Amino acid sequence: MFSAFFGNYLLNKGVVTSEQLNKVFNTQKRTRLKLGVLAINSKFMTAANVNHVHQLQTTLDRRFGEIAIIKGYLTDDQLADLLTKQKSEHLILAQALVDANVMDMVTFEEEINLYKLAYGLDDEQFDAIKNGDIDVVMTAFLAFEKTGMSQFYIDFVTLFVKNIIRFIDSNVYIDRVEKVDRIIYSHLFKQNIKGDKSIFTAYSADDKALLDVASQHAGEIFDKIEEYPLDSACEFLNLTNGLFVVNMSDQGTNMTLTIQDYVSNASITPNNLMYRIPIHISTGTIYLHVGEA
Amino acid sequence: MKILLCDDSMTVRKKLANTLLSLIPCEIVEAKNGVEAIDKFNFEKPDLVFMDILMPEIDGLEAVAKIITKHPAAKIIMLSSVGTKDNLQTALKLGAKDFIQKPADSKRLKIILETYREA
Repeated sequence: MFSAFFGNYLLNKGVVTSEQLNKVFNTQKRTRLKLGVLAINSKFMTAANVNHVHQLQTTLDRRFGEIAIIKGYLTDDQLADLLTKQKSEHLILAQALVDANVMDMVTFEEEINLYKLAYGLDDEQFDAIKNGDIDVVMTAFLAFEKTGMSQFYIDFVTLFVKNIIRFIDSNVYIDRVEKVDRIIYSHLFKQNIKGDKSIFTAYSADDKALLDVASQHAGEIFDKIEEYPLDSACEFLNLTNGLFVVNMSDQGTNMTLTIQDYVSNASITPNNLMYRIPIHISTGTIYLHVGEA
Repeated sequence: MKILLCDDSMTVRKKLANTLLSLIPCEIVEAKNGVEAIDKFNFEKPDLVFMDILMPEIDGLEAVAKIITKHPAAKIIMLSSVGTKDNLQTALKLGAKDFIQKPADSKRLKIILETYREA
């Protein structure tokens, strides 16, 4: 999650190209952080200590950590800590960017700080992104106008994104919430939530993203937009809305659903405040709409 | 064993049919709304029914009421995205045997099949 959010921030800012970013993401999948780099970063070892261990590794058939402990450079606890950090997505991304000569570590840290500033993220929220805590991330990113409905919208969009991650694609990041007027889509899936609170929900997507949602949800491979994939994409909205209604009902807010609907060449012309949340997945963008029904 | 699947979504019907066929030898009959479900039940006399709630024409709860009135021994399992307490209570009161929240989990379906195959 961190890589998707921060990587795409760098892309939109023009700091990296999409080619570089794809290369970095691919490298990242294969990368394991070097324990020596981590040990210096954690101030457990000096660069000279690390070089000494590397030197010894050329003659001893032992792992870096084992030699560092034998030589008294690391304790068992410190090594355990470093092995945990070795799996850190945040640091792996940094290393992949540095290895690809996209930026150095100093620039990486500067960009991290600018990113936090740009999205108004405090340390706790930033840690949540690093740790993949979707609830905190959504609350930080979903800046709806403060009304009696805003918490419902946050809960709904969070659940939708969780279901995208759960059923469709874990490589997800979202853009800022936009207020929208009239929008026309080639394909639109919509459903009203009604009851104690009434919410209009709808989504559209790029063709590739739509086929991806339909394919992953149905467990089939679709390459053409026709009845079956459209039904699958529509049912995905129904599935999410159903779970939302159950969650709300458990919290004492009674709601139910209208029948989900697919409309081609549909325009959304809101009478009330309507929001659009662009949700980016590997194959394209999903445009989720939420507003008062 | 003959099983009637009633859901307005083709995707749900296909996924469910595939899962059921992988769990047990059975004959699948499909209906895409409450009206079709009643007709198919009367004609096909299925051993088990999986019924959605939100559907066009007449919804799943109304279809359950009509089927149970005419066939009190009908074995109907609700399978809905809207598994609220209200829907659950209403369905059971009308005579449905059980309630599954979508997406259907194959372990749960297996238990349902084992329970109602011999019943």
